[in-house]
Amino acid sequence: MERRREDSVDAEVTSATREASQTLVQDELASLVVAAQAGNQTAFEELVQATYVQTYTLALRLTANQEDARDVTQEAYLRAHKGLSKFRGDSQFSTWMYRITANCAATQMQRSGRHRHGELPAGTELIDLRSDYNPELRAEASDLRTRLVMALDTLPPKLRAVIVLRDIYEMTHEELASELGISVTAAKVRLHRARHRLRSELFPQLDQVESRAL
Amino acid sequence: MRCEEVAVAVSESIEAELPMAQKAARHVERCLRCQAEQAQYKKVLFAMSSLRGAQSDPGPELLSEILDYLHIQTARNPVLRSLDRHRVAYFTAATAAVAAVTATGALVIAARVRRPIPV
Repeated sequence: MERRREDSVDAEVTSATREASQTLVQDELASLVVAAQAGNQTAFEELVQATYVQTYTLALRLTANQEDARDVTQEAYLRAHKGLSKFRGDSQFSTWMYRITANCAATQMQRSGRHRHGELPAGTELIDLRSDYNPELRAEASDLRTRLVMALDTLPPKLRAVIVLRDIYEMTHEELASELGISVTAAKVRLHRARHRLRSELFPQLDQVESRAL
Repeated sequence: MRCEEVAVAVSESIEAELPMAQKAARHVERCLRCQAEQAQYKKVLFAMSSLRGAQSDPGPELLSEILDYLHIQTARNPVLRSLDRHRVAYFTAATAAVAAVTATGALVIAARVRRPIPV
């Protein structure tokens, strides 16, 4: 019991420290944005350096293809560079970049009109930056997460995009609709289909049970 | 009410942590299948949120590729701007090759000029 309380206190301290450092990072990014908006090219390059791994990660999750993800990342930063004067700082720079990346990925997927499998699970090195999950769920979630990453790659791109942006990046239905060029209703329908397919992929046994209330 | 009819409500209630419509909630209370489905959705959502902190390693060269691309695309020269990502790489390599050939040629010519004339 005592040990659990200590763990809990440690987790709170770790969480508070991480939040403080994230705030610091966000403050630094905000000042880089201001400098870049004033025409400082070096500041924009520092913004790229600070965020390109996150942007690439999202692009890879959306395209499930390393080459496409690299193209999307580059295009996203070019669009960000062109549109930086319109960024008002209502959201964090990284959140703004996520929206641009989602939009670029949607364009890329339409342009390429293809769906390639198999690169994400094998070639992706995942670095876990979080450590304060519920300890009882952590081990189970770790196994589930590995299967989840593979299952995500099997989803059709349109379904994968909505579930990644909603359930990992916490975009609202309205943001999803806007960035993917679909209606809010379509976004909700796709999200439900994506979750259903993902759940069926991860827990296939339940779909064999007869559908009936007791 | 059938399980298929409450499936959307189950998935939405997990996400928004909102109470389900009474009819759907009553069904879930009495249906082991839907309770299991609800639990599985929770697990999937938990696993999805755990991916938030994970990052994919793009390799060391992506940063310079992005910066090169930005330099070329924001250049005033319209020919340079028309280059896409792959052509930027070819263009950079070709420019480096031309520079190397020019430098080598200049060195060869300089060496010949300095060589003493045989008597």
